[in-house]
Amino acid sequence: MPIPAALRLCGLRKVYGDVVALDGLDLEVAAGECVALIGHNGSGKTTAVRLAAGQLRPTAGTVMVAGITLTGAADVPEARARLAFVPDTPVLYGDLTVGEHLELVALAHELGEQAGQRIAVLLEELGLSGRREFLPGQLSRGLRQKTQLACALLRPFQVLLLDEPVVGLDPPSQRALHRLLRRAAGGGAAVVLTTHQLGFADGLADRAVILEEGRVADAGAFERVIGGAEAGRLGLS
Amino acid sequence: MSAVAARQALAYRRRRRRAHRRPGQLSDLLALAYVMVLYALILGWGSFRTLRQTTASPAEAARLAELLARLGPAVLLVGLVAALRYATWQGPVVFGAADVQLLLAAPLPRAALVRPRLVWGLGAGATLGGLLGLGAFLLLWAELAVPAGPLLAAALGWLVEESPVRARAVLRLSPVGLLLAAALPAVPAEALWSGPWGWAVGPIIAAAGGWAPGWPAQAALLALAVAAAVTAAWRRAGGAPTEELARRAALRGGLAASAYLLDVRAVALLRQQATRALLGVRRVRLRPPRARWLAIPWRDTLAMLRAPGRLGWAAALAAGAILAVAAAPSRRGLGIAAVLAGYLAAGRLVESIRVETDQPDAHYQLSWRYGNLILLHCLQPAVVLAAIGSLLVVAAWLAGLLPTAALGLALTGTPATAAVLVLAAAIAGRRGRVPVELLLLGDVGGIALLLWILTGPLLAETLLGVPIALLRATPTPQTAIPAVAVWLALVVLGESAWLRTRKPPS
Repeated sequence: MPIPAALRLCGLRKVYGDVVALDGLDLEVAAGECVALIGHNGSGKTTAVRLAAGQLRPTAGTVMVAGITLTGAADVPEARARLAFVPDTPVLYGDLTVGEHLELVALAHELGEQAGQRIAVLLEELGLSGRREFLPGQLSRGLRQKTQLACALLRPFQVLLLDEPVVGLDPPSQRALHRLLRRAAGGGAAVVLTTHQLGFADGLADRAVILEEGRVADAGAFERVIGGAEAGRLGLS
Repeated sequence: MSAVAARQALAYRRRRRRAHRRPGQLSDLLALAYVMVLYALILGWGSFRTLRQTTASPAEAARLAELLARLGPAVLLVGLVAALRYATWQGPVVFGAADVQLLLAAPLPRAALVRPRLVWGLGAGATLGGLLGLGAFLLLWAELAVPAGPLLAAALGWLVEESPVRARAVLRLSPVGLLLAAALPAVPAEALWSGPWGWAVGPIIAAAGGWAPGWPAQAALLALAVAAAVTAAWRRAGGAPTEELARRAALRGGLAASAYLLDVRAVALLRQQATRALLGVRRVRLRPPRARWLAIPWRDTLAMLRAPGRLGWAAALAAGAILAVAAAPSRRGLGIAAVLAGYLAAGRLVESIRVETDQPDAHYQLSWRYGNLILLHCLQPAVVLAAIGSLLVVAAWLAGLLPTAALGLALTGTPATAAVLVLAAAIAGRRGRVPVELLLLGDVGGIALLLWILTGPLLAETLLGVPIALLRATPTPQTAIPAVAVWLALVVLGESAWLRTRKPPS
């Protein structure tokens, strides 16, 4: 029996009224693989990762996480247990500190005794150790983004989806995130990220998918796609 | 992953929230609650005594029961439609944005996260119903409360919230519900059996000593409907898609801020945004005109065709206004109500002016001075309202509500009246949002705010009150026509001149 892809998107389509945001996206991401979704503003990147994360319901098509169909039923805890998602805008509780956010995530994912150590390590790696007792209102946008990243990276996952993860991050933080994502992929997770910063995806993404007006314009090995004619035509090379 | 984990996560969240409460916040809340309870007791007791001493006589109760039989089902149906429409963008269960990202994304059973909030939603419905029941008790001297209606609305609200298909159906079918509500007073006996809105009224009428045969069956039907809705809502607690809950969470933050600042416009925009997310925007095309001055009416017509609901509301309100005038032209109160309905109809049509004032800097892209631009925005609504009014006048004449002798006068007066109403709505609409300074005026802030909100209706009532008084003061309306025509012409010129000199809101 073949091993199912960690993430499988089949004929994914999303329509808002008359606007087709995504039109028939097919994508398989294997365990340990990293895929970058690239494209202009409004090309469908965010819609694609939000659909994959179960945050949006597709108009047509299916999302499968580790062989579990996420679409159709509203409540699929088994799929959500294997999936971590980082939205493009930090969304945090105004009345919980950085550390408490991570403790809440640990509780919600039943991480048990191991959580404390993992939280400390993650905060250190993301440069948040000194901000553990800070409330979101006391943090810059970049620090809030890092808190959100920490929340996603704290728990075990088989699929990690990130929407514009480097927006607001300073260069050292971008490098730290680069390391963490490579480690996640090295540990067997499928990583899908959207980005406008090709420099960040370089050396991280194995494959790239260029989206143009909701459709796949080109897909393949990262270097080939970025150096290809489509990327050149769209000014993405 | 278990419901226990969900309970633990929620409990942790509550504990930490409490821990971060600023010093004195809890005592402030308790003091506020104490004051509110005190006021409620004093006012409640005062109202109770007043009603006992004045209106709660058996004759008064019977009159109220008769009124309730005629209007109760319609009012309850309108309330139910409003509650279900509210559930299409907020509803009884609304999470915060962080809840959506951190808790709903966790592998916790969704039902375990939704149910505590659903209990609050249903509890709020039952409490509201209890208060209404208490009101009914005081007014009708009856012993039956009506907690069922709002509880039913809350339960059905969750079922709407839980399914975008149902939410779309509610948005599309609510005009049918409102038409039904408008028709119910014409058939009061049938209205009592037409649905939960009627079943809720029958038992109250009976308790008040009114005539409501079959009220035990109605009470049983209502109890069954409530039980079925609450059970269905409870069972389907885990069924809501994340997309729907995230959409409501995103709107909630903006809604709370807007409500705090009494920014009605911002609330309307949020609701509009939510409706568009569900129904989409109609893709309508209209060939651009060649004449420059027609550019703004063209743009306004496009906007109207893309949101035809505005036209429907305007037509319904205008129909109410014309019906009121045609049915009882001599009744002063109905005249005032008709002008108000006409003003509200005009208000539905001047949306483009509000859009212009939402972003005043946008007009720098165009070649008109701001005042002239606003005036150009009045052209299309005035023509549309005049057309709607003329059609309704003819319909009223065909239905025999308007005498043939008055038809010519009504048709001639309709365009001028439409222009006055649209210009009054433009004068009010072009001011933009409620100025925050009004809220800082202390004791007089409330009155200033009320005056700010009522400027448009008061202007319309004053400007159209004069010709109405002139027509009533003469034995035959024809003799007052020259004076009325001069007045309306002066008003239109005056309003236009005033608008032309306006500058964009700061």
